Amino acid sequence: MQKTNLKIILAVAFLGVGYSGSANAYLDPGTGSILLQGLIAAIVGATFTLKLYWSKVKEIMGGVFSGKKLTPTTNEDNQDQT
Amino acid sequence: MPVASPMYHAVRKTDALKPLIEDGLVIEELVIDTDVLGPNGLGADIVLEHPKLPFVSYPYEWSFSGLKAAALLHLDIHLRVLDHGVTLSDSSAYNVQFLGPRPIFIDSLSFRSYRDGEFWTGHRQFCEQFLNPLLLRSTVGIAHNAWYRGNLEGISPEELSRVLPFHRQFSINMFTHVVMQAILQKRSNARSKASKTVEKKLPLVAFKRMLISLRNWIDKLTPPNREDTVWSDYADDNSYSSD
Repeated sequence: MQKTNLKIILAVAFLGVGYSGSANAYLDPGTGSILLQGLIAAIVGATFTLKLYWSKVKEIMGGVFSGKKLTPTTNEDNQDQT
Repeated sequence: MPVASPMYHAVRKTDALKPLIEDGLVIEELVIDTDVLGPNGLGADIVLEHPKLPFVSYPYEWSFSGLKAAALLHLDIHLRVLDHGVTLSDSSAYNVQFLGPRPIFIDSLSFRSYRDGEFWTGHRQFCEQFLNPLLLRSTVGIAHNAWYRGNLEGISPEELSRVLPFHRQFSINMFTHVVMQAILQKRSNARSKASKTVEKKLPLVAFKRMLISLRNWIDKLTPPNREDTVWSDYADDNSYSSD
């Protein structure tokens, strides 16, 4: 139920999205459908951004809890590896 | 040059259609001499010949499983051509025919180049002509045929959302493709002139995600348990016995 509420809130939050684009004369793409896809695009974009930040947070937290010092990689390190 | 000609050539330069034709999902096409059209063919760039279908049928005549097979074919084709930078210009159910029990896509000219970030213009039509008729049967228990025959463009989300039971409206798919679409459509009708136009793009990954989630959803749809009719067990009750 909580999930549903969240979806409704997200949906309402994006109601203001409009659209523009070409349409075929014999096909009505439907404003509702276009608005809906604008909403989906926004949600996908937001999810992608959140995932990106979340992976960065996990990386930092992982470094902190494993006790390793985060040292920048130098050219000398690279040379040692080769 | 005819308007459709550049798009025809652009799509045929990709490998989008060949495997679909080989797999029997899209009807074969043969480029033949334009002279076959006689004086009517003046200015024609290409003339295509397709195998003649033995029988033509329409979505309002199909059974639930026929319409479902056609819907899945449409989505499968769209997903496969998108990998080659090609999309479909519409989602008409009348572009699908049956060869025996097998659905086949017959509109070779509805393939066109995909433009990065474009919306799925055939989404509403897909809902009206494939999804909503299937939902009418699987959710409400009403066969799509009579309604569809009375409205050849199919069943709109606004109409379907009025007959959906309240408790069935809140699954993620039902809410997105039926209820939400109907709300947005009504809302936009009410303020069509006042609405601002904002440039918006649908990323390809979201486009494909929509098609895949619709495919997974439709694949699971089944008609509700059928009630007995006068024809149930007809063969058992009314056949001549060997005596």
